[in-house]
Amino acid sequence: MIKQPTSQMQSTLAQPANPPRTSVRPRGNFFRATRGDSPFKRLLIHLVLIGYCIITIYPISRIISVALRPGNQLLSSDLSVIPAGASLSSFDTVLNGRPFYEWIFNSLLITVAVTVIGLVLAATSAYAFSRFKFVGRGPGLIFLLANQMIPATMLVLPIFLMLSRLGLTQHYEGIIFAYSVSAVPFSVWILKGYYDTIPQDLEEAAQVDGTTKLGAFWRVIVPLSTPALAIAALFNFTQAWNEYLLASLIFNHNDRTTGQQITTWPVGLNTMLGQFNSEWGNFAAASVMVAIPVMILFLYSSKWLIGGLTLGGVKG
Amino acid sequence: MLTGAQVLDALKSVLVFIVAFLAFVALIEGLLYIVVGGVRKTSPLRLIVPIGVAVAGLLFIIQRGPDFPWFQFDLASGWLHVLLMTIMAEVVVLGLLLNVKVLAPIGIALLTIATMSRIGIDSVSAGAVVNNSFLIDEWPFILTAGAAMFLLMLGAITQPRVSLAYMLIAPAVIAISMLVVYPFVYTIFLAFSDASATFQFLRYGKAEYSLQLGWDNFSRVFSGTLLSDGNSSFWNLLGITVAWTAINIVFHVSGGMGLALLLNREMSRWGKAIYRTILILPWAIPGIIAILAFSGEFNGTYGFINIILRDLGINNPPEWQSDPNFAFLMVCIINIWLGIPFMMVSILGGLQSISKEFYEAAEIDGATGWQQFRNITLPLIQPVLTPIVILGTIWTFNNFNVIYLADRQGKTNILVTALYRIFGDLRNYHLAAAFSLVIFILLMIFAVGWIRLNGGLKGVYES
Repeated sequence: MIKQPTSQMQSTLAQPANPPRTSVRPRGNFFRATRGDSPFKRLLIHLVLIGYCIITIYPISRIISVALRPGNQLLSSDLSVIPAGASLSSFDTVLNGRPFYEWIFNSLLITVAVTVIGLVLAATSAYAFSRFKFVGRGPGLIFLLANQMIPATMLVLPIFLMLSRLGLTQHYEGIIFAYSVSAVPFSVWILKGYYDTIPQDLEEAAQVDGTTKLGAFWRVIVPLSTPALAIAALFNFTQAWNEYLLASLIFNHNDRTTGQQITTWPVGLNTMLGQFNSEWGNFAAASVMVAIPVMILFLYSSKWLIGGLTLGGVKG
Repeated sequence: MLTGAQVLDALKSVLVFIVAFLAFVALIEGLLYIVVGGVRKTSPLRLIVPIGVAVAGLLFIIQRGPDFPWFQFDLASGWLHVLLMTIMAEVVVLGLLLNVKVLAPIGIALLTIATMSRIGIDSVSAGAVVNNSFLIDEWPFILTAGAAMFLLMLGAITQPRVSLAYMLIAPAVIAISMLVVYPFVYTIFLAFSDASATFQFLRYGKAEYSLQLGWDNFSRVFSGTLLSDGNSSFWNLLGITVAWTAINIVFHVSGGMGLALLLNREMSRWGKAIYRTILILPWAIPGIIAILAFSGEFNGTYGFINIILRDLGINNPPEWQSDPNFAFLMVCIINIWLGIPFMMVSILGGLQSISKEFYEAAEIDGATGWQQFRNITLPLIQPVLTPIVILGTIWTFNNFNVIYLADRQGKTNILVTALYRIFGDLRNYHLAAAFSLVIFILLMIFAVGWIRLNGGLKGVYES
């Protein structure tokens, strides 16, 4: 079947396929396991790792603990993770008293549309870059890489001016259009790398069976590259889901043509302030509700994600 | 609260946009298909599909009626208008290229009509005869989108055997030309102007353009103060940016490397999985949430950092938000916390692909741990390390969110946050444009230097 990208990467480093994990201890050394560490060293390693895990996890758990605080204890110097008298009142306030649903709905709508458009753009052009030798192929790929170097902050001003002149600042269309290509260069690289590992014979066989070149792309390549498409979709998704800069500029802009206001969750959360004040508990509750699904999705897909990263970066 | 009608309306408008996008793609494809000469070779019936989709899309948009933003009379230029202009220009070029004598005059006629209509709309909407500078205002757009189309068509005509490739990349190339190349070109124009947040500029793009203004803008970037606090010169900001990037990269790489080395030791599979899951949490949590939450936790009285410091016996812990030096330290701590997992995971991937046999051989030869690291590990993860360090450097250099969102009082500024403050807060568009070009050139120098050192980019795409 199809060669997995990771195994290909390993083979370039001259590694035997699937090294058995247990074969590290060489025979003949009775007193010291060569690669295994002494018990004292092991303890030290675990201590350091546990220490850093605490550094990692405490600030995150702290968001939850602030979200659980009852209103009268918001400004306490309590360090415990589950505060005394924990209550869900902040969650209640956010869900019923703030336009929280609207933020999430807007973000979801924009993100899904951006993902669809971005995938269509990236999948087709990655196929062209992978299968055809045409004039402009090399410069095109370099150009896509160079795109990554342009600071987002730099393009925000002209894009904002363009959208405001077209009257699209308070419409979904504007922000979707502006986001649509932000993850395309990266997706093209990932998908091209994956397509390169799919043998051309498969398409040729499909063409012999009577489909066109495009038909072969649609019927053979697209189904086979679902893992890579999933990674690309995930990148598009996170990119649009977490975008703050352009959204803040566009949505704060007073558009005289409509009274309608669209806000995504990053802009909305920022208006709830990052400081300790009366909104702090509500901010934490909203954060928890936004973060948990995203974190589960991320942890679930992290294996592919990391494979995709090295696929784009190391290939060549 | 969100009502059902609002949801329906939003869904409708997004759906229309996606249909319009597909129609746009179909238009381009149909045009390219005609160019390549498919009409002569195969039955014209095939053209019905793209053109049909395009017409259906347009009808769908029109059906949505006058509330559709692109058709509002007020929006003088109009999205479709610009698009049509681009396609008209292409028709002219095509007519000349393919030696189809009818196409050129038709295209020129349509182009003229389109331009005239634009003038008419402008005059009405401004309420008086206005000095219409259409060609200056919109031509970066026509120039970039048109140039992209032109190159694609040229490629498709000169290499008919791979014309399909040009059709496949066309949508992405045109979208990127409108959203990356056009803004870039327009930034260059703005750098040579006196554009600011006036109504005439925001609505119609009217501004003065001259070389003298460009000279003024660029000299102000290098000599004047850029922000309203009075002491942020370009060199000052550059120094802070370099320090910020260097500190972060050093800690990211060393921290990530240390954790990856520890995780790569012998330990039970479950333990490893649990550590790994916990350690990548800072990468998994949405960045904005982590940044905003941290910025609150650095509060002088109620943040957990100062509470812990007080418990440790430090009686007056720093006011992180209001002291400039501690503000810088604060953003560094936040970004290091956020950035280590990415480095750790990438380096761990590299470490796991190193064969254990190297280390066994080294042990037999009596190499110490440090020697093994220095002579086996480092050289072998070099191919993984170099690209992520370069990427990390560029990301950190451009890291807007951490500094802008965590430092609520704006005490710390690197180049990109200063840029945002110039156009977002001070509304000084011409200075911002010149400044952003300077930042871009700095990044380019860095990238090109790196590419030179690594012997070119040939290997990147010749696979």
